[in-house]
Amino acid sequence: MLKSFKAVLEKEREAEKLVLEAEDKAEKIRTSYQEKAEMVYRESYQETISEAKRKSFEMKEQAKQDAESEAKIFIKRAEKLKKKVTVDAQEKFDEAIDFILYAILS
Amino acid sequence: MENSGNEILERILKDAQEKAESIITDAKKSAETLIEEQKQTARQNAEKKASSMLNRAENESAIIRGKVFTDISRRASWIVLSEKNRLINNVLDEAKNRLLSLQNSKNYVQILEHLIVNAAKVLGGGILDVVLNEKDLKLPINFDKLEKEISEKSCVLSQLKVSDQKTKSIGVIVKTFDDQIFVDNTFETILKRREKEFRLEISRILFNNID
Repeated sequence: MLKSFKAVLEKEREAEKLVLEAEDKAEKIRTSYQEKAEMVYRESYQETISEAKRKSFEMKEQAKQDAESEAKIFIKRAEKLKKKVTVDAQEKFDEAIDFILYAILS
Repeated sequence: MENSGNEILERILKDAQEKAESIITDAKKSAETLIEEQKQTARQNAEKKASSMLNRAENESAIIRGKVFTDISRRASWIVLSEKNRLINNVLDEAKNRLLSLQNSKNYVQILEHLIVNAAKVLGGGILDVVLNEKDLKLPINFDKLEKEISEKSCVLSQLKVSDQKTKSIGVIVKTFDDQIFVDNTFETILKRREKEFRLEISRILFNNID
């Protein structure tokens, strides 16, 4: 009977040791994850900010490109109008000169 | 009896092992949850800053578009305006050349007489000095006829004297006898004096149908 009791007691000590070791291991896991969590926070934060920075840059670049291609169209139109102005004006060149001569000499 | 004793001992150990495994599993689970929560919190916190960055980028994009648009509108206008200005200058230059070449034309005397009467009228008649260039001094200008015309038009008895002074320009300068007031009717000066008016009219003639 005493022998059995001792055996139980020993097993319980062994069991208790197992649980204590597990708790110790769990604590280590928690501590290591705590450190990891801080790193994960920094990385996730930075990742979101970097993504926003990239989008902002792209947005501004796109705006610049759009504006520049619109600008090219504007300049082309202006060049076309310049040609039309020149051609039309040449047809009325003598009329304009006659006006001045008439205004001074009459 | 001995068998049941062994079973109890095995049971104690097995329970302890299960408990130990459960402690570790729970620890892992809660650690992973913590990691996931940290990720979410970090994203949420960064999202505010990111959103303000994107708003700022949107505003800056609008400014970039506006600035480029303003620059380009100015450049486009300048392209057309500078061409119009060049064409107006061409007309003025050509008009000046044609006026200067009139000195060799048949009706130049008439033109000169017209300029003298015109200047004398502006001065209100009276005794007036006529300043001409060296070449024009030799022209058969009918001063008597001009004096009559000026007297009639200004209602003041008028007399014209050819001045000792000479001009190098083509056209005429008429002065009051006391040298106080003069009208410069040389071609270059007339063009300069009326340039603003001429530019407007040339512009109307040349570019009337152009937007």
